[in-house]
Amino acid sequence: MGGPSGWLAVEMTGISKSFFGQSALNDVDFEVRWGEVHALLGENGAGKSALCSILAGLYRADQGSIRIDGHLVDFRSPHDALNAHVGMVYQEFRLVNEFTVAENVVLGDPRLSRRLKWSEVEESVAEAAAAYDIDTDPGRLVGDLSVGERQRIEILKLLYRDARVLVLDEPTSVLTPSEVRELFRSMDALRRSGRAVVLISHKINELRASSDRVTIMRQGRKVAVDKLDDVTNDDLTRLMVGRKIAAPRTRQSPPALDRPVLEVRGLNVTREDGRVAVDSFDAEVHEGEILGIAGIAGNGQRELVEALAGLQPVQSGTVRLQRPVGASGGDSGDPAGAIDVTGMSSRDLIEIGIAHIPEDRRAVGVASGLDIGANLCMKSYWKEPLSKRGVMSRSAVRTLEEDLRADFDIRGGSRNLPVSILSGGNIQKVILARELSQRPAVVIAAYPTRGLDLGAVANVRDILIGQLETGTAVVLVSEDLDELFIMSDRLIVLHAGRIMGEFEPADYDRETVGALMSGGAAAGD
Amino acid sequence: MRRLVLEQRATPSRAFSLALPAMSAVGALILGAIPLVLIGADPVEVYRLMLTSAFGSSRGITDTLTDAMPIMLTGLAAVVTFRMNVWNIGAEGQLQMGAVTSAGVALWLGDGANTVFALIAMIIAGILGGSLYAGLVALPTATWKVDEVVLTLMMNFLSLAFINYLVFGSHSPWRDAFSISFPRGQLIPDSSRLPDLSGRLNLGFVITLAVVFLVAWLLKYTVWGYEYSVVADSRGAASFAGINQWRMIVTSFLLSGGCAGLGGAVLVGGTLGAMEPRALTGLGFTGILVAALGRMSPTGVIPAAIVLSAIVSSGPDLQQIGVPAPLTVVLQGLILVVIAGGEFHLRYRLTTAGPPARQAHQESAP
Repeated sequence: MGGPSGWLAVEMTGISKSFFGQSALNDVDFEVRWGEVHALLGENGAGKSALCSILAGLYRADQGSIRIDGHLVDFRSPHDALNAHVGMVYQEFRLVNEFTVAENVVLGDPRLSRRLKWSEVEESVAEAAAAYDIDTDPGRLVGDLSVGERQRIEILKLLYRDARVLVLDEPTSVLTPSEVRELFRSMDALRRSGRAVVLISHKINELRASSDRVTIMRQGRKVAVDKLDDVTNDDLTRLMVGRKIAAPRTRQSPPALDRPVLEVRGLNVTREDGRVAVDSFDAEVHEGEILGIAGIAGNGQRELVEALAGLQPVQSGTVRLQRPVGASGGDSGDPAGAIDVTGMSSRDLIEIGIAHIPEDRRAVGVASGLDIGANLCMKSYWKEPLSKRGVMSRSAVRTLEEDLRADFDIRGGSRNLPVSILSGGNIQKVILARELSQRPAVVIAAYPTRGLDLGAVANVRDILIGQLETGTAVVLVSEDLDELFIMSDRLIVLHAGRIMGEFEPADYDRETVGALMSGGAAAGD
Repeated sequence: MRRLVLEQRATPSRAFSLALPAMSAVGALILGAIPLVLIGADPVEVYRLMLTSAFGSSRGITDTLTDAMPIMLTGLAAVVTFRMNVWNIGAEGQLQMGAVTSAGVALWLGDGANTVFALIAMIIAGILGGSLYAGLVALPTATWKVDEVVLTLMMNFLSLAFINYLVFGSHSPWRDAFSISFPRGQLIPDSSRLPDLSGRLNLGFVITLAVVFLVAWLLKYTVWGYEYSVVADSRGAASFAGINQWRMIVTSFLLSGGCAGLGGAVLVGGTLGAMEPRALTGLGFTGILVAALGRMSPTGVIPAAIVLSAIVSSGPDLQQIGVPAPLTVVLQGLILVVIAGGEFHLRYRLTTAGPPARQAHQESAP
């Protein structure tokens, strides 16, 4: 494999591709050598995923040619690509949760004999796992595995099928820091075995830790190829974004700590299976304040957010809301006093001014098959002028769409096209535009920048910070400590549904907070 | 090395999506010619006769439209829930119950009633009958997520047994008291009969069209329709927007059952004139085919039902020129299967492997 053949592992030439008449890739050349980890860097919508999906046979190029190890190929399906030893690990895993590891690994393998002997299959999967130094138990159900483990099964699946070119689409976005380190170790092993690895990413620090060369894409074109050792981070950012990223917006005024907006007392939320998800949660958020909630995913954040947004029943405790002086609107309640909103329906909470940026942007945040206008009016369609006496006003929806598109700089898509064709950043802007245009008292933002590129991250953060000036309070749930430290006025650490500690900006410390997130005591103990 | 492969079409053009069923029909006719030639019939003559018997005379046209009416409504009933990924396959039973209630009201009102009032009462009774019968399934489905496919299917057996009981198994008011050896439905009074427009075609057709366009309008332009589209697209997004999904499932079921029930009413008030069990079977299931041929569009059921009705109604005429009855059924089935199967090409295209084609869009399951 590789090396001696003298051919490039991947040689894509003049690749062009358009979707729905919009050009996604424009005459792109892309080369990967055997025995290298090659990073593909670019913002969302730059064409990284489209290029790799063509390489992996998911899409076909409109124009251009692909050579794998010197052979001209024309992939009609991912199956074809795998036969040519090219495989891809997608962001959304393609695993069957109800199957065991071994069953998933051999699923779709044409070598599988008609009369299966599972003991033999499991043995061969175990052997393969050992050979590639992947720690797994072939008999376990995939549904029981952590995200990091599932990702390793995806890689094992490709290696078992003898993939020699592996494409990993933003593999680190779902991983914890220690899982990221482990992934990079396996990538290094793949490189040493002479395979070629393509790493799609937009996180520059990670590329440095893992890759040899980088190809930078912007707006569907290749803008540069370099050895990572030869370029600075600033160069990479500039090449990727095409401009300098403006410094984060600064806060105009400090939070009004004497004016609480959201007051949560002794909140308990139970999961459907009866286990405690949120355990006596107490917090206050004030006017113009960002309260950060740190924690590793699955420690009660989802249930906390959903309970606050009325999507999960509250077991016990109270939630009170006091509309900030700056935010007008909201139909119910005495502006002077706090309202008990515990257990209200999600519709009532929307009306009363609790906005929610959900963690699952594409499945919950938007109705992905509907167009931008339909998505923008999802939280106000029952009110005039969007509808009157039960009939929707198309012109009002159109006006709303035009206004919010301009205000929030939503790019791409058009009327009657599903919102799903937008990039992640623009989908998030659609959600933000919809939520913030309701002039909420509180914004509960769950992982609002996860998976977004640098430009979009900066945009989303600026929008949230800008919102503070009207007195809105923000609850920011995130796993990204850098983000929490930059944004939060106060930080609560959640572990197993419990508050482990509360921090003021002066005490923000990666080690201490990190230790509490994983359930340990604060550093020093 | 060339081989046939399937590719997903990115976006079918409007012209193509309109021309496709016609192209499928031509394919079906060519295929259908094979058995006809084998029995020594002239395919051209047979097809000409099918066309003229369905559309060649005003009588043919009105017959075709009359028979299209109930399946248009059961087709609409299917569309209304299927689009939301709720599978009400009980239009069969809902139509039957609509027939029972509309006939019941017409018989109860009797001869002396004011015609306009009697007609309106009969129609509303039919709609309510179908609607409430669907509601019996809607509640457990929406409340406890009981499988609606199983429930609606079972309810079809119940309603079939019930209408048979009313006419064949008892001396209910629905049974013609004077039919001893050969039981049949009691004719409803003339005041409740839908007035004829032309030939067999009656006022029910106008009501049917009005309901089809009303449902299309509801789905497209109202707040209910907007909520419907959000629930149809993403249940997650719908709860997030505070849309009451219980209400959406129940209302779409009620609307769906109401459409099917109206189908029962127009049959009772129109062509049948009685709650006649023998004529009230199979229409709900045909509606599912109509919905599929109509591409799950509310207005799409109009042409779909007319085409289907034309194909089916030509059967007797074909037998007169010597095509055996079983073969006419084979022919009809063949045409339907090919047209329905042709819809596949709306989303996929068959090509040979070769240089990359423009706008090719590969199936996405790895």
